Amino acid sequence: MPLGIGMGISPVFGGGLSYIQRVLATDPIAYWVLGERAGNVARCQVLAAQNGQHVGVTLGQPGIGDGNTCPYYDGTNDYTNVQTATLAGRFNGAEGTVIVWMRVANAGVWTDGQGREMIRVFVNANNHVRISKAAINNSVFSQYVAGGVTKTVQVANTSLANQCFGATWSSAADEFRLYIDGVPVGVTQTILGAWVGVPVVSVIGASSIVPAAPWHGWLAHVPLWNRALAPAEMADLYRP
Amino acid sequence: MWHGYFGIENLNLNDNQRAELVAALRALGPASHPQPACLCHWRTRLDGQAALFEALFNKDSISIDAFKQRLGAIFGISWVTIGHSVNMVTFDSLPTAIVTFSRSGTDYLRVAFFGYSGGEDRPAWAESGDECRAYLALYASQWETADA
Repeated sequence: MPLGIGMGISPVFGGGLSYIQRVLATDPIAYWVLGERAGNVARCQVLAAQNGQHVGVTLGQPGIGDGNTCPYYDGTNDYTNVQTATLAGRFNGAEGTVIVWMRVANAGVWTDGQGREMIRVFVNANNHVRISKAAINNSVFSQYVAGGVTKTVQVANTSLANQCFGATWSSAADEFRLYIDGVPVGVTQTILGAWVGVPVVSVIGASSIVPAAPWHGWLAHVPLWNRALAPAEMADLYRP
Repeated sequence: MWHGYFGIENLNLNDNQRAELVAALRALGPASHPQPACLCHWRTRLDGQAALFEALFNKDSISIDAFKQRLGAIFGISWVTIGHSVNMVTFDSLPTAIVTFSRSGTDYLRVAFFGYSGGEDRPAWAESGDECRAYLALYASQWETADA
C-alpha cells in the first residue's frame, strides 16, 4: 500500500477510511495531496517517480477538513509542477478523470479579470485538459481539447467555500463532464475529438511554469485517473 | 529581511547584460528554506523583457543603490555614475516606487518595488502582493496569453 501524508491520521468519516485512503481505493494513476508542511517536493501517493515540485507556494495552510494542510498560491508566481516522464507515459488523454479541491483567496478573485488555472495537462494547443477560473467575472470552466476539437463546460460560481472540482472525459462513452461538489454541472459535452500525444506540461495552480494564469487561493487533493469515474464515485469523493 | 515582490523591465540592456542581471536576481534570497514562498521565484512577461521576483530578501539587496551596483558591475563602471528617477504609482492601495536607471542619457532598466516607497518601513508580504497582483491585472495583456 502506498504510504502517504495523512495515512496515520485517524479516519473521521464514513467507512472508517481517510479521504486519502478512499481516493487510493479507486486506483488513480497519480495523486498529489499537497499536504506537505515544508520543502519543495509535492509527493505523489501512487508513485514517487511522479513527485512534483512546489514553487513559491505557502505550505501548511488549513485544508479541506480531512486533517491535512494545503498550499496557498499567491496569484502572481506560484505553482506546483507535476510534469514527469512517468506521468507523461501513464496519462490517458482518451479516458480520464481529474479532481482538485479549491478555495479562492477572497471574493475579489471572482471579479479580478484574470484567468486562473487549478490544473492543466497539456500536450499542445490541440490536445489538453484543464479546470480554470475564467477571466470573465464569476465564472469557472473546464475544457477538454482533443485532436483540435474543443469542448468547454462553463458555469457561474462565486463560492468562497472549499469546493471539489472534477472533470471526466471518455472517448468510449463520448462524454466530457464537469463536476462541482460531486454533481455534474453545465452541459455534458459529446462528439469529442481523438486525443493525440503525451503531456509536456502538467501543472497545478497555473497553466505553465512561466507561470501563466496563476491560481489565487488554496488547492488540495489532486488525483488523476486513466478512466472516467462514474457519477457515484465522483459524488463519494466530494465527501472530505 | 523582507518578504515581498519587485519587478524589472529591460529598457536598453543587451541580451548578455539582461541575462547577467537576471542570473544575479535569481540568486537572491535564502539558499534553502522550508517554505517555498521564501525561496526566490519569478515570473516572466510574455515578451521576455520583464520579470517579477518574490523571496525573503535581504533588505539591502532590494534598494536603489543595490541595483546601481548590479548595473555598474554589468557595465564595468563605477556604480555612482548611474543615475535614477523615481515615479510613484499606486496600483491597489499603497504607493509603489518605480525607479528608472539611466546612464549618459540612456534609460537601461526600470524596477518596481511593489508597495514600497522608500524609508525603513517595508510593506507586509500580503500588501506587496496586493500591489503586484493589481499591477498584473492592469497589464494583463502583456503577461497572459489569450486562452488563459
